[in-house]
Amino acid sequence: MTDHPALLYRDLDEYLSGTTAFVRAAVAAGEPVLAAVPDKNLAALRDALADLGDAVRYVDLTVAGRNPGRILPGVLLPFAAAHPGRRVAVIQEALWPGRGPLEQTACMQHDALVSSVLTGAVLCPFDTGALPATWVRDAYRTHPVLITDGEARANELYSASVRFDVPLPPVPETAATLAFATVDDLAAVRGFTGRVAGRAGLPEFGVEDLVVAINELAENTILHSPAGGVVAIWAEPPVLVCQVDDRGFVADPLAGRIPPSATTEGGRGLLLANQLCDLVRIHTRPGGTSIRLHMELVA
Amino acid sequence: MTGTLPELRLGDHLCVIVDSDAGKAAALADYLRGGLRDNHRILYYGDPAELCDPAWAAPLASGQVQVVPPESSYLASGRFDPEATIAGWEVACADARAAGHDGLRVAGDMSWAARPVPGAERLPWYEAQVNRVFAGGYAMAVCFYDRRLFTPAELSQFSCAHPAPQLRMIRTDDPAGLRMDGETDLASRAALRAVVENLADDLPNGETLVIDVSRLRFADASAARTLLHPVTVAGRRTRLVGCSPGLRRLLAFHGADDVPGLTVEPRW
Repeated sequence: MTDHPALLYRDLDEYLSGTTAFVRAAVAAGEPVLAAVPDKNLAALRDALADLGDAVRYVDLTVAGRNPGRILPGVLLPFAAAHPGRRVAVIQEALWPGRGPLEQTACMQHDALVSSVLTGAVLCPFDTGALPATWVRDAYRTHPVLITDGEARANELYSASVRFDVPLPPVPETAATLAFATVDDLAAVRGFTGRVAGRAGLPEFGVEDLVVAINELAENTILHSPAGGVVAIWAEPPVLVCQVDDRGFVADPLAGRIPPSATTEGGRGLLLANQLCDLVRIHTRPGGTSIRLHMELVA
Repeated sequence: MTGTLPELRLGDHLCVIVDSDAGKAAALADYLRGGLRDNHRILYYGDPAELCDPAWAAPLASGQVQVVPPESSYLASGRFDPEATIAGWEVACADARAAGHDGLRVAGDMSWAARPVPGAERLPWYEAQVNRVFAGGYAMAVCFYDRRLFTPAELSQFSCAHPAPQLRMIRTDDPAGLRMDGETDLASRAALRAVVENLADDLPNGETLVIDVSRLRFADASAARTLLHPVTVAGRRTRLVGCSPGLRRLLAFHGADDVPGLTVEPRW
């Protein structure tokens, strides 16, 4: 059972009042506490909770959660695993002003899955003064409880089944594309990805990571979608965008977010893409899956 | 398939998918002739009629070239027995060595596998496991599969057990280990797993296995995980030597930083 309230705050005072109350209650209950928030709020929160010392673990989510798909496998699940059998208390602020539209839906996709995976409480602060109103309304849909002005109330707009699996914007006609279908095409997919990404100005280690990630996605396509797929690459400064389209269907919404057990073969391609890339957005429906990756162009 | 094959060396195991009898004949002759040049014992598991060119008469007479239909060799019992067939490879290698040859060059016509031969369902397992023979570095083989006889899914499965020309794996005795060259992805996954997951068994002597990946240009996530098998599953101390920055990131993704008995040594 996971409590998953949204804290709707207009300024730092409301932010600190809501978050510190949550943390102090959790610490008093003996629960391990993780504060995963953007750098802009991290210092203020840490100052306000200085008396709690090591009882709270802090993570800058602009780094660890730059790709929202990485928050579960890279931040939340390791924290939960470090406290086996215990309820954990987490402040998770994944959406901040300056996120792009695709990142916003990726944050909502992630947020819609958190309750099903964690045991404890996850408080999600939203900066209503700075975030677009539509983004705040989207947040209503994934949180059963809203906290405003220090008051918690049930939220009628909440839906346990919402997934935010919305279509991706179209691939631009100017994108470089390559079709592939069999294992014999993999080397060409890697060569194509490396050439186009290098020409677009992606730093060398970024090119290597993107080639690895695209190779994993292409292998998944080859294994699960006999008709093959298409990889497309184009620049949308400040990011390089890469998309793999195929006719398959990713049935598990948690794919790429939960590390398989150590003895399980395979099933790590999307997980790896989440780790290597700055954004992984999936749109899947029976008969077609699109996976879009972002790599930051400037280091 | 035209008449040219990629340049092959001892240790290679290549799957050639042929579309026509003529294309196959040209590729076969080209490949086998290389064995005359290199002082190899040449073994063709196929139809003796395919080597009726007079040029083959002398090497056939001397025993350097031997042609045996599968039905009168490894299928003689009426069924396909992968373990016995692999044991037969060891015998063939020993015979070729005893006769003074510098290697064993084999070609196989795999058309029999399209017929209802008992045991044929284990062919993919065999094709992967037999790479352990080639990793010894003395033998090489080309397997001809006829596109007209197999489904695309079957061909794809067979193909993944044949690492050449993408990947070359050769076991080393001093130090005990494996030298890898090329790229490895889904196309060579079955072959890689068969060789690496049995490396500790195939090299029982020596404390530490040294896997030299300095000439490995690409490895996918699955391959990186396979490289950890000798230490994490077989419990053998392992050094991974010459790891590229990308491979190191993949190994770390699989938790290599916390594996006791493993040393990851960078390329630069």
